[in-house]
Amino acid sequence: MCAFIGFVLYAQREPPVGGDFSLTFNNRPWKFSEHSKKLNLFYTGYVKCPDVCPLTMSVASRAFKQLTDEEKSKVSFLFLSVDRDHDRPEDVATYASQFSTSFLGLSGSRDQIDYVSRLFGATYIIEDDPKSHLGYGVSHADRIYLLNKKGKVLYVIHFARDPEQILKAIRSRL
Amino acid sequence: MKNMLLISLIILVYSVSSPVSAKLSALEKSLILENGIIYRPLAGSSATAGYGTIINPTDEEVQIVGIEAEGFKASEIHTTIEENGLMKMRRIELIPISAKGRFELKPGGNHIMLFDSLRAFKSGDKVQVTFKTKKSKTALPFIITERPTAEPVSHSHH
Repeated sequence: MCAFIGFVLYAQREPPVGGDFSLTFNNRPWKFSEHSKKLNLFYTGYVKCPDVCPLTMSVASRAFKQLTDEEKSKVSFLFLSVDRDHDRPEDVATYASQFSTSFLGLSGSRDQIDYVSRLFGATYIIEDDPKSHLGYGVSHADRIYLLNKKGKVLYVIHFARDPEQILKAIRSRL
Repeated sequence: MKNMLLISLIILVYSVSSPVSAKLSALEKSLILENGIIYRPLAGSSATAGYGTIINPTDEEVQIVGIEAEGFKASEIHTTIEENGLMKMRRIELIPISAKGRFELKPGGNHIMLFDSLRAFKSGDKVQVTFKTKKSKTALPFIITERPTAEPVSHSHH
């Protein structure tokens, strides 16, 4: 039985355009255009994900660690938890900051999360999983979106497993 | 990384047997673990994962039907799959390892999933994970390890 389905149809769309959006950071309103940098990496997942999310974020973190201070000042990494029912906003913020102090862990209302999912085609499905102790599962895209200052999608990295790939993608757009 | 080198080959520490399994050969109760690690649970998350290679050194197939990890409320073996552009996790309830065969647990694929740590862990701690077959149990020591780039915080336990 499906608990929630988020925009499966959007997976079939052409590359998303993106744009400005509003979420929350640590239970406070957060708007992309008020915090965006020249280049912004955007990733969706959930904090109880033991495998793919920390894997991708570790890889991104390794890329960020190679940036110069000047480069770091122009780049942000935004992690959005799509699991608003189980991930507390303060936990999302804390979780993301452990990969890099510059990583922001964002949350939002269901409407806000779905708006952003639609904006970027960042599909997700939350469904019951009675076979697991967790009781549910979150299926999500494993994509890092590179956004310009206005939130427009410049590039998408699928299944990021190589820090050099991310580093190259960042530096070629700064 | 240092820990990874130190635990490049960790051999069975002990085996817990039932009266039934006592009739089995000693080899049948044995599994070997290579490079067994569990990433230290990150603050904000109640779940983490463990990786390594489980080796069946015996001449018979072994079927793993479950695991238990000390220090965690629950533990399961999962696999991550990509389906229609989405990454999904599925629990694996029976894992056959052929005679002399190997079962790989690696990021982005098969892994042990651990829920709700019952105590704080630090790098280098050992966690005994008991692999259960229909006939026996084998405890294998996994080493708590920091994620490659995770920055430690002071409040890792929930």
